[in-house]
Amino acid sequence: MSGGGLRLQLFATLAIAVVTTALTAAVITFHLFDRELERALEARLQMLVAEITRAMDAGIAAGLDLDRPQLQERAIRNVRANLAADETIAIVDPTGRIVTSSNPAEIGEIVPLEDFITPDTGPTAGSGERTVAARPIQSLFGAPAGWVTARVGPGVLDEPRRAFIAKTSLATAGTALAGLLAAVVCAAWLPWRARRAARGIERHLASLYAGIGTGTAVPELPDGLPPAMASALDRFTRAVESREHELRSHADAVDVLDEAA
Amino acid sequence: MPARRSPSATAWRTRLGLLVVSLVLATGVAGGVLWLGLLEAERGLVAALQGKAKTHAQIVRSDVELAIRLGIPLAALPGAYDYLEGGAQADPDIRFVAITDSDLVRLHYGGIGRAQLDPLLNAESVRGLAASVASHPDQPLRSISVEGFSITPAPLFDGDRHAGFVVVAVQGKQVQEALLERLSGLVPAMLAFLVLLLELVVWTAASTLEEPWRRLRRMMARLDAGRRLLWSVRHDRSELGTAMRLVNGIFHRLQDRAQRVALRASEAERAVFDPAVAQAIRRHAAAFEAPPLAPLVSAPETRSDRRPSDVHAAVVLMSAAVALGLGPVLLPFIVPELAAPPTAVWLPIAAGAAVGLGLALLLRRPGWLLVLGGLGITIVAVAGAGLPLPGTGVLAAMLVFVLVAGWLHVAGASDVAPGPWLAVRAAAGLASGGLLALTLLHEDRLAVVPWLQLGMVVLAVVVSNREPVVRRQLFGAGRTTAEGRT
Repeated sequence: MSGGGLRLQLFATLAIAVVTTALTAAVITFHLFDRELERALEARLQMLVAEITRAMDAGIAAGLDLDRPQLQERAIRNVRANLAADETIAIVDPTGRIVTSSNPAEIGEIVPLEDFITPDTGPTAGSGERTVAARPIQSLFGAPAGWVTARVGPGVLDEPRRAFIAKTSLATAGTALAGLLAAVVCAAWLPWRARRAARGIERHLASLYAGIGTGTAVPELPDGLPPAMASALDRFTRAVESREHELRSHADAVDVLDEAA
Repeated sequence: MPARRSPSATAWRTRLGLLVVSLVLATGVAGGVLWLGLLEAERGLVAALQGKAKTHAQIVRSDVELAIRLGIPLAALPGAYDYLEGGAQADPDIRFVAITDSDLVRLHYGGIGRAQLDPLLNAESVRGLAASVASHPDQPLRSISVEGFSITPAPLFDGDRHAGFVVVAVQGKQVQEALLERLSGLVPAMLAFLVLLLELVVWTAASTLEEPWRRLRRMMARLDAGRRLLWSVRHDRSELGTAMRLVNGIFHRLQDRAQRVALRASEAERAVFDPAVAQAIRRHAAAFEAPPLAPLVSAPETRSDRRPSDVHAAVVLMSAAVALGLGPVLLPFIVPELAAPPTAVWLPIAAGAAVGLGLALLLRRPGWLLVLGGLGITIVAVAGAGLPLPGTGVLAAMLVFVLVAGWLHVAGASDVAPGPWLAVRAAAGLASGGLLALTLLHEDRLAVVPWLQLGMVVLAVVVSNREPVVRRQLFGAGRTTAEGRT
């Protein structure tokens, strides 16, 4: 890490920790919310499908035909109020033809039966819809008399997701900001010992540098240095002083000899 | 005897302090965001569960009204307890289902006990809501929150006559428990985050304090020992960077003075005619040919200042990115219930590792190796989450690339044992990536993997390419730099 003093460098680290944590926590809460939301949606639609299937099974057992409008209406009458815009419940005959649906526009369409056998395997090609629940309607002879299915469009959970993100992003930003403020305080306080030592060394070296060749006294060692660093700095200062002394004595001796000659 | 405190003890103290502060801040921020987020999630999910409660209420209402039409009195519904209890048991989100008379007096119930149920039914707000929905059979159902329960009353009609209510409740606490249970499934990801946070702290302490501290001491010790001077070729703008620049300045001044004196002695020796004086001057000039003055008239050592922190972040992050990619392929071998492991996965991995090793040794440029590794991961990441077997080979090659690149750089650094250092960093990266992969696999969120990998790769390359000297060492170097010259 480069640039700035120790405090700035430590702040950068703390800021990375704070921002990354806030984002990770926000992603985790969204993930938890999203999974539970999907579960609640699927459970509700499965409940509706089970209820319609129960009604259809009873009707078929009573000798009614799958195509009988009264039976269909009786079965899906109660569910319409419980469906959101992108949710569709349909009754499909064994050939895949939709015989009735909460969305009247799709009555008569053909849908692939594989979606009902293994529901929730992903979006059906094209529409982006996916089947989240499907149950066979029992016939008197064993083979399914038809299917009750619940499908959802790709945007069925968009609204609650958007609402959740809008509300939590503000809370995340606020918490991260509070964390950053705390990071500023901690970064100012945390390196005080290292900074005090480093600044002492810096000042000592600056006066040592300025004194070279001027014959001024060697500066005192700064207080509060860790012993090992104080010892290293002391030896260094003595070495500089010693080299200075030797250089001066050699220079003086050469001058004297030269002048004498 | 007083405890001996060394510069590294100060750095350790700072490292420990930084770790504690980072953990406290991260815990505080994570706690705050999770708490606020989960509260909001609970609100949103209770609204979703209210939809389920309404559906359940309508289903029960439909059945009970059928019984009423068959002439069965509401108070004497046969099997009502089993029916209501079965509904509540089948769906843990439904806390209770009750059938009441038109005054909200409990007749049948399933779910939580009577002691809790009756006060809720007698609550003023529930009575008010029930009265408002009982006016007409086609009234839309509404819910109300009472003491942590979300209660939905659905009116029962016998023809046009109001006969009673079906009351269904869901509970926010249930939602909380479900959310917390799911949260516990994310523990591996939290551990991965902790490992990465620890590495961040270690990296910061090393790059900010420990390495400059050691370099400064070595520079000073060289002069003291009368050995060839060690020049600082990289120093940031921190206090320690300034100190290193000042040591450079001190060396420069001493060398300048020494060279002047040596030159003066050489000139004087040539200028005098008296052999005895010339001999005396020569004795002084000879002092500059041996320690401790000799280093002052010879060129200082400008060895490349290689520091492990240069490649620390890259090794950790890229190992994590590779582990993230390999995780979905390899984890089933360790945790068999995740998925059926593919057969013959070792061949592409071994082949990829061999290719990676060959290329790394051929290029010998750590920076470009890191970039190449990043590009490889990116290609595999963007190519698809399916991770076909050749993809595992490429990822294996990238991992070997990264480790060899790290080795090439760290082996030239001083004060570190390259093998153990590299092993610890790679293990941290692989562990965090593996834990993240495990979590994503469990949570069925593998689509996130490429984006996480990309983020890690970009961060690794950006961090490795940060200051001119490091950039030269990592990217601009051929064999000369690899052997330690700037």
